[in-house]
Amino acid sequence: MPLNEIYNIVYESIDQFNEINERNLEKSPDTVLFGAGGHLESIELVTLIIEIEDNIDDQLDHCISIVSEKAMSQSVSPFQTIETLVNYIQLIITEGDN
Amino acid sequence: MAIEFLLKVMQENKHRTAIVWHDKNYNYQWLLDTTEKMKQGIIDSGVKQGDVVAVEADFSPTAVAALLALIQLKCVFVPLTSAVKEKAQEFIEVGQCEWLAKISATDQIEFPIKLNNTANHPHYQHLRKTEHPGLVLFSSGSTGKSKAAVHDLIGILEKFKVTRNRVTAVTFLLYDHIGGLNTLLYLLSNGGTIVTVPDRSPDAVLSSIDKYQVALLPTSPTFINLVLISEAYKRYDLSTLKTVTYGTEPMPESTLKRFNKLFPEIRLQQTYGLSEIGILRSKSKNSHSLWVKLGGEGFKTRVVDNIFQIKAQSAMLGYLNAPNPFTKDGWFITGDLVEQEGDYFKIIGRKSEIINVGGEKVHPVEIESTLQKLDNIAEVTVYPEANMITGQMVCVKVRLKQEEDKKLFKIRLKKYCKQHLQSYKRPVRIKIDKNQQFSERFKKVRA
Repeated sequence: MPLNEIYNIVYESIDQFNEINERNLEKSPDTVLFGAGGHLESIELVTLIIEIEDNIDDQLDHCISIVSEKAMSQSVSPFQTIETLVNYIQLIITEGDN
Repeated sequence: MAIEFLLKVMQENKHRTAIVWHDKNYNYQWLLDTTEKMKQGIIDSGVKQGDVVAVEADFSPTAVAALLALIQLKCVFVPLTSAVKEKAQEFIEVGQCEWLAKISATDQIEFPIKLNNTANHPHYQHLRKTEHPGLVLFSSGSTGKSKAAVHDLIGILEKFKVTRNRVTAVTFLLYDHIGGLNTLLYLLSNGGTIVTVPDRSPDAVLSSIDKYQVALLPTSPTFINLVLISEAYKRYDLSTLKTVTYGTEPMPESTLKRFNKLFPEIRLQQTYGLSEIGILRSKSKNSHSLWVKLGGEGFKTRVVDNIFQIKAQSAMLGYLNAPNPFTKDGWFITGDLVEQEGDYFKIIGRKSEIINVGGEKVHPVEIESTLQKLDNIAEVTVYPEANMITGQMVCVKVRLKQEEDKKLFKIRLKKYCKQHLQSYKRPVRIKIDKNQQFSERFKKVRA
């Protein structure tokens, strides 16, 4: 799965998230999501992730679960920035395909 | 005799209609005569005092007569309806039923046949020793295995000795449900009329109300919502309907408001009862209020850690298949969260159904009540899903009235939630599902 496709879906999800929640989360790989300097509260992070999961399911026909034991035990948290999140999504989609 | 008072009332009202079934009226004389025939038939089958008899039936003239006959014979009555058909065998075994009688869809009785069970549970032994008739009711088991509650029927019948209003009511709740039996005994003990329904769809129920000038409808909030969304009320004359009682699950405030707006003349009365305890006397503050006085003679109530507790004179003897749930001093912990203001209680929901989002508590009924106000929603059920970031998250399953673009609907719902709910209460996962969201008892099924 090419990274740019996942970026597109994540950015589209951020657009939806921003519109509904009247937020202005920047669509950039470096945007810090959660943790030190993060822009999201825990419940907002969950909301955005489920939005992304739904969009991946709708558009790529991949049913994935981003928040899991595996995600929590990565050496770099997938929820740190948009880039780490996109990389992690690519990882689990690829693993799912194999 | 256990039901002497009941037979006396029936005798006094012998020319009145006791039951309406399939558009035919059966008067109290018919019911008295048939009860006698049932008694003889049951004795001839070999059933003896103290035996445990399962009866597969729905509300029908013969089913009512069979119940009265078994009470007089001091047997233990175990009602089973089609709502539990998948579990019937399990219930017969758990109930140690020694006999099985069936009442067909055409109201013909198949007299009890002997089963291979021995009813030796201490609660049954107690009933035999005291020579009292018994009753076994199964809890819904929505959160696990169904529990079999054994009652002494003498205790349950006691409160019906007080004469109250004679009314015509629909038996909406089922024959094997504490609420259904309560309605039945209330009607019989006051010479009222039982209107049975061919099915429990809004149209079938409302058309019976229209046709037989029914004054009382005991039902559930789920059914009230179905009446509202089906608009069945537009097709029938409901002017005789004076009171609608609702229980079995918490009422969403929005459903209450919509009903009141449409039917300002109908009194809405909340009821409260449990298979283990029976039905408490209740009085809603008014039709617009979810606050209700609960108790009445034979019941004491208290609130401990926000959970409603009841001490009842006529509580069950105990379960057949579970430990004694009562506290040492005899209180039953209902598991229902309540608020209290003076004499009034407000039922918030089951403690076990609270959703914990990062330490914040969310009551599904509150969210459902808010969402129900959104356009195009027929039914809505809120449920939790585990999540490693916030522990649990709020999810919702929606049945739409009319087809709508899934994506646009989700955005519409989320925007609405943003306006009306705090962030932790907003549903994160939204599923659209075409299936009905309630059980055969018209109670919401939480996924």
